[in-house]
Amino acid sequence: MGLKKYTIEIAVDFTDEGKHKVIVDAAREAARTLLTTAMMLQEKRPPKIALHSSDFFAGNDELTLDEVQT
Amino acid sequence: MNLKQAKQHLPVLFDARVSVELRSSPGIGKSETIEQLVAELSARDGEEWGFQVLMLATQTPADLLGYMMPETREFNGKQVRVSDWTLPPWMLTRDGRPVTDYRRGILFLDEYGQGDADVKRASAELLLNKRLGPHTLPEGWAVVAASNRDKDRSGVTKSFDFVINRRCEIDIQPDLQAWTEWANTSGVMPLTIAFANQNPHIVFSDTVPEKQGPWCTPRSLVMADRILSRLTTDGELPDASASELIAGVIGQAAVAQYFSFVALEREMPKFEDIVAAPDKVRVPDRPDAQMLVCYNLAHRVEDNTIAPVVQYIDRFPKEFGVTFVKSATQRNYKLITTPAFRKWCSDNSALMAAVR
Repeated sequence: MGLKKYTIEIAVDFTDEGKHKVIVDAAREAARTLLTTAMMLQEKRPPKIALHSSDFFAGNDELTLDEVQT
Repeated sequence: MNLKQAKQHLPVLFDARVSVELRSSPGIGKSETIEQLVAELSARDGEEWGFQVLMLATQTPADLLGYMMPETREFNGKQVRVSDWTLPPWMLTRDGRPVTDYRRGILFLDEYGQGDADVKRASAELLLNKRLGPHTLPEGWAVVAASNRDKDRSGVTKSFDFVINRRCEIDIQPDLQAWTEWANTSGVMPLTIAFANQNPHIVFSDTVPEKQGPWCTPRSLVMADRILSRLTTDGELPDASASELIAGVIGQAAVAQYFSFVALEREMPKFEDIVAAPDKVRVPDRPDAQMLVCYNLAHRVEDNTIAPVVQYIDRFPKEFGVTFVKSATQRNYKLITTPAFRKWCSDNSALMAAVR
């Protein structure tokens, strides 16, 4: 077994932008926890993680794992 | 590269039928690594790999070739006396079976660098063609040599260019992380692992000491660990003669540091007390003591004790929590699925994402 990639996708349809923010925060938290778990099990290369959002109009947007201070 | 990385890459060289020479300072665990690799490859392939170790420093060219014995053969109806070669030791595995009993295997030429020039010359054919004179290793066998470097004062003799050109040379760097991972799963006492992590400059020095005498390397430290584990009884500090014994393997300078860890361990809170009252048991003040507690707990924790132990470790500075969880999961990765470790990963995810 070697390098393997895992993808989690969720599609949501909200009109309220606040609800999208809730989902992004939850995705960030889940991604950080997943990364931490992988780091604790690390053997060779350190694990890498990426978080993206996309929609039909804006296209793909890479999100940081940190909370964005507003 | 470090030994762990070398171990990961060696099977590729074996499949490519390229012989290997591992070179490093003495005592970093080359021989043990090859032995482990044989077991791992046997498990991977579901068939036993053959293994033979040949100390090249003790061989003569005749030992490598075997000896000529008088035999009789029939040619054109006439009995003719001929010379026939005996099977040399490297054509038998360590358990005494012929190498041909195994489809795959490793012939390990230990102390290769210390071999006489004539022996090195003779073994060149082994490194290139996996054969020597009339004897041939099976197709799936690999030849691995291990050496020290000229600067290690280990009696390494001259290398020949025609030999250098026949194998892949890998310089092995001492590596604390790789050693710790190995030690966590190889029965090394937590206090020895904590000592190495607190004193990498003593254990993983890349040079031999200026003045000859015993000195501390990963190998000699593991020897010290084995001696100490047989000398200590519960709660009792070994007497002064024990430190002299251990100085005989790791040297005077290292033994003083090592025994300060032994003394420290005797003052550590008991595992049973931590499990019974994780919020009340004292947390040591000194970082070396905290590290020692982390390795001790990582060594002993199981599914049924993990919750209180994580609760106790949460009272330590965060970096020791990371040391504890990493060390425990190296020993048993399934612990990461326990609710206590899942919660720890969630609680510390922001920190880990920041330090990655």
